[in-house]
Amino acid sequence: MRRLSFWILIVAAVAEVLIAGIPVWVIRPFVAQPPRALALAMALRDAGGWATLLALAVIVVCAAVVLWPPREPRSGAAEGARPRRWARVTVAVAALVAGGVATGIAHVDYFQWMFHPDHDVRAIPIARAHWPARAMVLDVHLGGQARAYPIREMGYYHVVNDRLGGAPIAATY
Amino acid sequence: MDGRVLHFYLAGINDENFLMRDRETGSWWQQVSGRAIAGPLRGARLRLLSSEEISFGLWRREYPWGTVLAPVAADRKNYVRAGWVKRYHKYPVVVPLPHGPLQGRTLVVGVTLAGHSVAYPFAQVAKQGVIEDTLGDTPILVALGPDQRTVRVFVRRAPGLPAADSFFKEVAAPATAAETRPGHAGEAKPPARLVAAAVVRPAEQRGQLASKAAAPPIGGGKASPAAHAKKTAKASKPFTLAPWKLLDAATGSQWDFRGCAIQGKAKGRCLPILPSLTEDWFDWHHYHPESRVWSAGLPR
Repeated sequence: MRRLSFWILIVAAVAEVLIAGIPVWVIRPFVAQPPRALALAMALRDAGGWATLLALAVIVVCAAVVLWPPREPRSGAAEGARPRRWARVTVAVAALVAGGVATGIAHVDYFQWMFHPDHDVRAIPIARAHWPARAMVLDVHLGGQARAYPIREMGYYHVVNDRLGGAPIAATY
Repeated sequence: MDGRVLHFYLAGINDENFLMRDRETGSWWQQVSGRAIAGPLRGARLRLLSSEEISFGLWRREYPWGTVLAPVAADRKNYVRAGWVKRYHKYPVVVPLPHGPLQGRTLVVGVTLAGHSVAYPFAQVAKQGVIEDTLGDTPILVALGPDQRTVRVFVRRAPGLPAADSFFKEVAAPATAAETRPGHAGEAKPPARLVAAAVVRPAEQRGQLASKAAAPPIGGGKASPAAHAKKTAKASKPFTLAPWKLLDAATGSQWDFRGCAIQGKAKGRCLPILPSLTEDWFDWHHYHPESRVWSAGLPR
């Protein structure tokens, strides 16, 4: 039982690392994203939320079994075949840490750590906008309204959910 | 999308163009195409609104009643610095590029119309000021604005008017050395001259064009110092909105940068504006592989 738990623990930990790690590795800047790798990465991001939680639950249960103090006195025959206690403790702790980190990564939109979304989308009249004349803006006009999205802001937010002329729009850069 | 309002957030990057997801369905969208590439809404496409990159100075003149996205105080320190795009030039281009004269991160103005695409290197547009071209069957005009930064693409055909075969930009004549020296301010200003749009034409037509260009200037000597400064200044040039007008050969009307005739027979009419996208050549080519590249020396 303990031996089986040990190997399930390792499999679950590897799964955690792959589920969270493949999207991070594939969807990174300044490299090409091959279509199949991207499809896999997006699927893993989609399924990652529950998959990492499930794997984490498996890891916790298996780690508990593996780390439970042995009740029966060790028999000489089993001694050699069973992983040593320090190795089991190391592997179980590593699996718990990996599972925890992977589950965390799968549950956050880490791209928004680097580029925070605009949580306070408001429009101000030109008189109150203090951008220099040479600053470039993204212009959108719709339904008799015109709005400028300064590039220096858009280069950070990249996506701004807004309303213009009565329509919901997403300004992107 | 289908009556449902979606809210998007930045979620990744695909071949150097970002991916966003919507909070409502979790679908994945490619920014440049507005198309859902994965998730429940896969295959759907957001309606693209026309938008353009324009200097704030010119924009507030054209839309004095417009509104501006408010800066958020907490994010202000994170806003990209002016000229940040240049930093990206050192990064590698990750998508395959065709053999051609353009580097992957050359800035181009891309236009698509009815299945035809063309890319105008921004530097060429800046140099020519006005480029006449034909996209599919549609005569178009690519023009650099009075701020020397904004590019607009027009259909070179106003509804209800004879098709103008050529547009000319009225610009100040280049200053001579004597003019720029102090103490010669009293010298006669050179007359404005007309610059033909950069179109490659058969030789006989070219002669005709030259004679048109040499015709007495319309509007007279208006070589403004501002226009001169703007022409000669380099990258960190001061911002000026120079006098800007186009003359069309068919009616001799004057047109402004909104594409509307402000004087002459065509007064009150406007040229349709085509959506264009100013971006790196590699990304334009990646999503418009059929696109040709405009070049000053090549016949259409």
